[in-house]
Amino acid sequence: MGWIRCPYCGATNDREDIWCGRCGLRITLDIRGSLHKSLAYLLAAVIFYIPANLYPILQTTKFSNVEGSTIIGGVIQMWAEGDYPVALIIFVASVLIPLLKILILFYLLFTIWRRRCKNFAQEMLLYHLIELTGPWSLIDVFVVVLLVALIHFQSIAIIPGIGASSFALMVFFTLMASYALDERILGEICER
Amino acid sequence: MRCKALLYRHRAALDAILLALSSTALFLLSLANMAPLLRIDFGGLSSHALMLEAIFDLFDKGFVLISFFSLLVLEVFPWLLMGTLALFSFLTLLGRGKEVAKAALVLVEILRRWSMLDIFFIAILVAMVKVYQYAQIHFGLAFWALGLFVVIEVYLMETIRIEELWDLWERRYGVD
Repeated sequence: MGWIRCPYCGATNDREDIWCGRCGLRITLDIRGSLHKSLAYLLAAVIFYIPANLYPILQTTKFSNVEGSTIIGGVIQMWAEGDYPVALIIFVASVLIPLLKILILFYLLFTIWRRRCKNFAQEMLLYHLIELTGPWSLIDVFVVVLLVALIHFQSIAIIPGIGASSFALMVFFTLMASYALDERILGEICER
Repeated sequence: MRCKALLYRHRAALDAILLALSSTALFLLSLANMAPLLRIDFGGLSSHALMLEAIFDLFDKGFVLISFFSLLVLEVFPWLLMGTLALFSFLTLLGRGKEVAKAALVLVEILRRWSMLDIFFIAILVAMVKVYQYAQIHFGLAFWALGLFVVIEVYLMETIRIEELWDLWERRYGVD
């Protein structure tokens, strides 16, 4: 006999229960299912991470000349022009956070797979860190959305590049990977 | 005790606070959609951007995926999230519609992760910094409405935990 917390409403239920007594949603711990789903999403994210960084995220057309700019290229250009705070925001949100998120997710999945936990507080901190910072990587995609709508003159226009779609997909899959990972599993493994 | 997270907090008149804030957020969101966010003047030419226009513009240019994703996280989910919160608080204030209020809370838990207007607001500021050297920028009414909406949304999502809303639901309708 034991207790289990509902991940949706936080109610405490009997460990044997399948459905939450309060919200009616499924509460069983599915370690294998969670691990496999999260890993599948994470691998998809890694695949899209490559074109997201290699291909231009936006393209500027000036009098029929087309110039592409990758994420890293944009950061370097802004840094060179002296826009240090924005260059830093884009670097952190679009380069550092996705990379860290992928690495942390691999580490957490590895912890679950080995069923060994070093430090529960540290692992939960890492989990909440990726959950909190993950969506912020979309800043660059939204900047593209806005610039495309604002700058569409005859002499100069901005259009999205292939990198923008790949980047949006990469962020989407990392979000799905972290949401598919049931945080209760970490507690369960560390408790043993 | 194990992870040092807050377990319980009681807030007086939570349903009234929720109703007031979510209705205000819905009003601000309509304003943010009706007026232009920004206007830029560039070498005698002028251009402005409305939120929905920006999203559909991408669709027209063939970037269906980003356009569809943006439509969901910048329009559909924020509207649904605030609408559902308003409906939930209205029902709990009346003390009616137990099952509808329950379904609304389940929907809130799903939607709260996918409403991304706060990130979009920061993206506007970043976009401004990118173009301010080449063009004059004027803020539209929608920019300020969106800013206020983001403040309310962040307050609702970050300070009011879903468990508090479930406790409110239990207090209003009782436990079976």
